[in-house]
Amino acid sequence: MTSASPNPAATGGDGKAVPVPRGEERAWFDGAREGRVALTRCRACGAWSTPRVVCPRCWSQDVEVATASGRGEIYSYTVLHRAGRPGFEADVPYVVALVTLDEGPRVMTTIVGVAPAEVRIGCRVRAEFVTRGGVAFPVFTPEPA
Amino acid sequence: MSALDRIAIVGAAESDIGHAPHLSPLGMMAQATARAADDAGLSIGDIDGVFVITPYHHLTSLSYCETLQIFPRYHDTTQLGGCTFVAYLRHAAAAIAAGMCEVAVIAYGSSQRSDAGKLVSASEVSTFEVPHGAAYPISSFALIAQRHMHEYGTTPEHLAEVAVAHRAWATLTPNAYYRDPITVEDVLASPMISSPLHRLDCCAVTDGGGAVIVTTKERARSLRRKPVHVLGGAEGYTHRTVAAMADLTISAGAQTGPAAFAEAGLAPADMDFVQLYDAFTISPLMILEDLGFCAKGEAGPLYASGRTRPGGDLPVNTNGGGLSYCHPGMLSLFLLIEAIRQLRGECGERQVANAEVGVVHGLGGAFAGAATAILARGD
Ligand SMILES: [Zn+2]
Repeated sequence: MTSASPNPAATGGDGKAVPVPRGEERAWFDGAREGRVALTRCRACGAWSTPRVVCPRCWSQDVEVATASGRGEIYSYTVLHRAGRPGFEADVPYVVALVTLDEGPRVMTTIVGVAPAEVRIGCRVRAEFVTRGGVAFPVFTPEPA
Repeated sequence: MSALDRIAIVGAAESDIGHAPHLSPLGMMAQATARAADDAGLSIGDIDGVFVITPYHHLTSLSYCETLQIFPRYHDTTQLGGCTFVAYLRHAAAAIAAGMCEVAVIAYGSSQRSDAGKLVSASEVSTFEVPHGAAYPISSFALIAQRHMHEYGTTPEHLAEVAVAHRAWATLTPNAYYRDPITVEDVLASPMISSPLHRLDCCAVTDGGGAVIVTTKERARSLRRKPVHVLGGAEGYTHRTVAAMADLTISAGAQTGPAAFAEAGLAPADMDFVQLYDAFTISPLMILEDLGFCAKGEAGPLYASGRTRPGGDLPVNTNGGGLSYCHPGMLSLFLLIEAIRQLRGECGERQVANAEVGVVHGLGGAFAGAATAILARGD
C-alpha cells in the first residue's frame, strides 16, 4: 500500500528523502544549518530534550532552544548491508547508530568517517553537518583518539 | 471481580493464509469472521462490538462493518502496533463488563505477500530519522540486538537458535509458510541485512487474516465450543521511536508480563506453552527475559538448550510463529489463535500434551508497545 505518509514529502538531488520539519521541529534543522546541535532546554528543571514545547521531565512550558556540545557516545549501532531507504544504494555498507548526547537526549544518526567494521558501542563521537535538498542535519564521527 | 473474569473466548479462526491473492485485506477479515462465528455457533449478526485494525484501512472499523453490513454499538480501533489484538482482549472485556456490548469480535487482515512481499505500513518515519536511511522496522530491532549482545554476551548463534527452534515447530504444522528444517549455520550464512540480523533472522512476509470472538461467560455456556478463559492481562508501552527507548535491553514486557501473571495468580513456571511475537530473532530472547522465564542474558543459552523446541519443557511458538508460520504485518492475533487451538487440543502433531494454561505476548512497533494475556482452558 502506498500510504500518504506525512514525512517525507521531498527528495534531494541524490534521491534520498529530505525531512519536512514542522513548528518546533525546525530548531534541530535550523541549528544544523548554523553548525550547531540544537536541543530544547527546560528553564524550570534544566532537562534537555530533542525539540519540544513541553518539557518531557517536569511538563513545564517554559522551555527554550539551546545549543548542545555536539558530543556524545555511541549507545548502539547497525551496519546496513542493503539500502534501508531509496537513494542509499551507493552508501552500502553504512552505519546507523543511536548516539547519547552528553546533555542526555539520545538520537538516531549516521556514523561517518570510520570503516563500519571499526564502529564500537561506547565510542566517543562529535557532530558534523550535512545539507541535503536545502535541509541541514547532524551526523556523527569518532572523536580523535 | 475483574472484567476479564466476565468473559470467555468462544470462537477463533484464520482466513486463508500464506499466499492468498484471491482475498483483499477486508476479504480476509470477513472470511475469518464468518469462520469464527461458525466456530462459535453464532451469527455474524450477533456481533455488537468490533475491535479491528489493519494498516490498509484508515477507518478500519467502518470499512470492516460496511463489508459485513453489521452496525455494532461499540467500536475500538486502538493502534498499539502488532500487539494490539492481545490488548483488545482487555478492551473487549471492559466493554462487555460495562454492558456496552455482548458479542465482541477481534479481527485483522493483510495481503502483504500478494502485495509483492513489501512490508505494508501506514507508519510515518520520524522527521529526525528521515535523513539517516535506517530500514524499518529491521534496523530498530538490529540496534536492540546489538546492545543486548554488548551487555549480555548474546551471540549471533543465540539469535540463530531462535529461528531454528521456531522452524522445528513449523515442520509439524501443515499450513506453515516455511516448513523445511534449518540450522544455525543456515541462518548465519544467509545475507546480512542490518547487522547483526541476517535474512533468516527475519519473519516470513505473508498474507493472512484472523478473527476471535469474545462474549460473556453466561452466554458462552449455551455455545458450541468449550470456552477459553483469560486469567490475566496487561498492556503498556515504553516509547515510539527506538531512540526514545530508555534501555534497549528492557521492553514494556517487563511491566506487562509481571502484571498479567499477578492478575492470574500464576508464574512463568506454570505455563504449558508460550506464544510470543517473533518478527525478528532478538524478540523472543528479550520477551522470555522480560516476562520472567529466565534472567537477563540467559534466553540465548535457554534457546540453545532445546527446551523451547518440540518435546522440550517450555514450548514456544508451537506453529512456527511469525518466523516460519505466518506473519502478515501484525502478528499477535495469530499468536492468540494458536494459543486457543492449543488449549482446545486441536493441534495434531504439534499439540502440547495436556495444555491447560499458556501465555501470549505481543509487542508493537520496535519493542515500543506490549500486551500480555494468560489464557486457560475453560470447563
Ligand atoms: Zn522541565
